Amino acid sequence: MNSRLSQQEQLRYAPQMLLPELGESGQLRLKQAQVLIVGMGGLGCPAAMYLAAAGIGRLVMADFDTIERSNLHRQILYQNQQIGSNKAQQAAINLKAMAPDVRYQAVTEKITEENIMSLIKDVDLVLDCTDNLTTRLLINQACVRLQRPLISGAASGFQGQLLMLPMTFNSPCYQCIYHSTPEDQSSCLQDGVVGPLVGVIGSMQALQGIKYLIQISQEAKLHLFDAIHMQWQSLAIEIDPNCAICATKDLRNNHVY
Amino acid sequence: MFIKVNNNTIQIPPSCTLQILINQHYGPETDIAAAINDSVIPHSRWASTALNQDDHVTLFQAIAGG
Repeated sequence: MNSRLSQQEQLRYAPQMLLPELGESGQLRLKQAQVLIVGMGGLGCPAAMYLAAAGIGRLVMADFDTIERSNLHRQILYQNQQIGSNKAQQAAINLKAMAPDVRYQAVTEKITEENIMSLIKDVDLVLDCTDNLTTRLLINQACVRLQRPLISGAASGFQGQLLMLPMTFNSPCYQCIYHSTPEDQSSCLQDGVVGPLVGVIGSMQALQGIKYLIQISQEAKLHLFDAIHMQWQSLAIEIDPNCAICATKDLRNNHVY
Repeated sequence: MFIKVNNNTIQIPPSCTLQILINQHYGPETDIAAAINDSVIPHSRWASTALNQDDHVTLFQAIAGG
């Protein structure tokens, strides 16, 4: 299935297929890929828009929250008259109008220990676009267990972070970097955030996702973005041999899940 | 000797480790992450990682927002 591109797809994706790194084979890889986006807020909106527009085969979007007026300055996939709708469902509807070839699935339940494994096991790549550390830790642990690559984005104030975790045997995990996470969880509502910053980080998640899927960049890396000075810093990352989550590699080989 | 911490130059005693530096600035219980010269140093290696003249130390925290 999906082993060739239709004439319409050839036309639609021609500009990106011109890239020698992508080409027709890269476009087919995107078409065969299944991506889960957890959190359809400020990061998830641009990430989903760019992945859908790029021709990802199947996009699963999870968010239990409804669209609020105070979301609209940064969650650019939604419209004023859609306030009150579930974000994942509305995203699927809005994206369908823009990119009808993609298969969309909206998950409207809250992500929990109970449902996360079944969501992640069916996809090739996970984007963490959530707004809280509890869910971030949950997603990380599930991706370690199932060895699913994770691209984590975060933004608060004028700071952004982008983390590529391939989750291969020698890949670090989120908790190798953050052995301990702040108790006061900074969120957009507490610390404030400007729309373009989450736009930058969410777009970078989509960009990294495309590069991962067409196999031109799969390296574990952390990027810090200082939006005041417009500066990126790229950091090499490694496994913490004492990591609470991934140090015992048995976890990764445990196929019970 | 002199090192840079988040682009500020500071003076530290010889044989200062990353652990000592962070404890002095942030106390023992910390949710800080640290990199030296653009490589993140896992928490379990802080105590055995000595700082060298002209090292660039980056200290940062997890952010959750999105």
